[in-house]
Amino acid sequence: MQISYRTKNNICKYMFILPALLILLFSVVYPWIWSFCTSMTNWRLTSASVPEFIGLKNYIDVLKDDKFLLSLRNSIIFMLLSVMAQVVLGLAIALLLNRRLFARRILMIGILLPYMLTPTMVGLVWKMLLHSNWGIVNYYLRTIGLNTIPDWLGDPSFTMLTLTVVATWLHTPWVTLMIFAGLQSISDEYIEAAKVDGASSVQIFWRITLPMLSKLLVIVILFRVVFSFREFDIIYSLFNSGGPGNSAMLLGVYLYQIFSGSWDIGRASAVSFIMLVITIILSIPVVLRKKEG
Amino acid sequence: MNSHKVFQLMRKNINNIILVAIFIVVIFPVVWVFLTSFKSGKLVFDLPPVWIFNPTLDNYKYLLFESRFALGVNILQNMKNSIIVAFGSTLLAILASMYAGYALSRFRFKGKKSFSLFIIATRMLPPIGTMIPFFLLINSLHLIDTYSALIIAYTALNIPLATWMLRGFLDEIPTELDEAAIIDGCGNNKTLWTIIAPLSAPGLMATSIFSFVLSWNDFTLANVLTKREARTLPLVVSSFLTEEGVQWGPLSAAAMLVFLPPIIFFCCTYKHLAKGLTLGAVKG
Repeated sequence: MQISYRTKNNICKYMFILPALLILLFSVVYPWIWSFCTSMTNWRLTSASVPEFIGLKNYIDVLKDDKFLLSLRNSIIFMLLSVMAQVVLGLAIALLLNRRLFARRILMIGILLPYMLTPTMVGLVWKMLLHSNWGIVNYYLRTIGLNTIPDWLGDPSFTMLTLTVVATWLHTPWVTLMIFAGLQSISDEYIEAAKVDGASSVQIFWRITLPMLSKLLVIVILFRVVFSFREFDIIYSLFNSGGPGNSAMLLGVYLYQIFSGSWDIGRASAVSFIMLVITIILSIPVVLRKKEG
Repeated sequence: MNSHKVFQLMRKNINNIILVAIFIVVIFPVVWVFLTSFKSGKLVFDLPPVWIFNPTLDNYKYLLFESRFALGVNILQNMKNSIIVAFGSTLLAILASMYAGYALSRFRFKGKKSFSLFIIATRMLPPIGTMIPFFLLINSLHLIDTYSALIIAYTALNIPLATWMLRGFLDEIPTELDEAAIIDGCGNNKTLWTIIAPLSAPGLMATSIFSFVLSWNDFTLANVLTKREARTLPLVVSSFLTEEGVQWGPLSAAAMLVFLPPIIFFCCTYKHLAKGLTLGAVKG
């Protein structure tokens, strides 16, 4: 049979995307579908009996579980606090980096370094730094004469602050990097023109820089929102599990506890799926924006 | 007069001064861990912290050799696991992503838009949520606690971002080059690997390194997909050192060991890495 050049060429094009597509279908899409089916059963890894279909019972149980609601609430609080801190700091640092500087390269490497570091180990390092007795952070707080020394890891009312500090240290570099790249792509002409017209630097920021960055900022914020929602490594390494009084009980920790605590695969799948739905809802704007661009 | 001059100089360089302060705050934890890893037992807990001391390698010795007898953990084996898994998954991910990125950058085909959306969508999936589906898959293939399990998982994890980064780098190479090669009778596949890949070497390198670090840094997936034999470095280090109580010396040495590849890679390829990461964001 003769295959025309055109068809052959078309097949060749699909051959190029095939490996990536197959790997993703096999190891991401297929297990997710399977996991969805599992979430409708009472499958436990510890019991030998055949899993039975129980419909939406897992979902109803999870949504009624106080611990789930607590972890959802904590996740939302954590997300709001840490994303706000990261975006404000990231924007400020990027604006500073974009000015005339000496030793910019070294400054940037240092300031962006945490981005590449292993989150679990970052959690452990901060666990040492924030230790209530021997931690260096509390030592310096005592030195500058602070009266009430926070118990970062033991006092439930400080848990969110601790998590936000560590998450901000770890994730602000990415935000800085993105915004810095955005700033670099703004042509100097606009700013020069505004200066000629006598605009102050505050005016330039609010009237020119910020509007031109707005599209990028939205994407950066959405990415951070989605990624903060699934924070697990640093929470787990800082607090081992739920932390004091379950104050560090976030969705990731909740899911992990169900999985490793009771081996209840059906229920764990249901929690995964709820997280997936939340992620999808949060990432719709990102995907739509990418589609436009 | 002199203090006035100093004040003037400071005012002129206020940006630099603020940034140096931020720089110090940001790298402080890393520097502190680095120094602590070379401190001997008593010095570790000294407050105020000692900055100048006689460095020793005791913590590293303990971690690499003695912990094996003391705690039954073979760090060298776990390090080997981490390296094999990270290399394997990077190789596979880059291979698949190079083809996919090239197709997205050069070809026009039906379903191109859906494919690129699919790539972005998989990137947004939470690893912690993907943990259970991955576990089901690997468990059914009887691959729990093997290298293959982690290599499959990390390859899938790395493909979306690697495809996206490579596409950005490939977009920067003029298409005339491919056209010339194809007219000269070079197939698409040959063109990609003999003409385009060498030209995009810095981008390819940056993407590979990023992918390597992503695999190297993972905790969540390795935690459920391995039991004993295939456990990777971050897992072992964090479990045995936190249960042991306060072993800050060895813990710092372990942290430096785990941080070392990311730090070296980042410093060497910072420029290209930054470019690759921001290509998609700024344009899209």
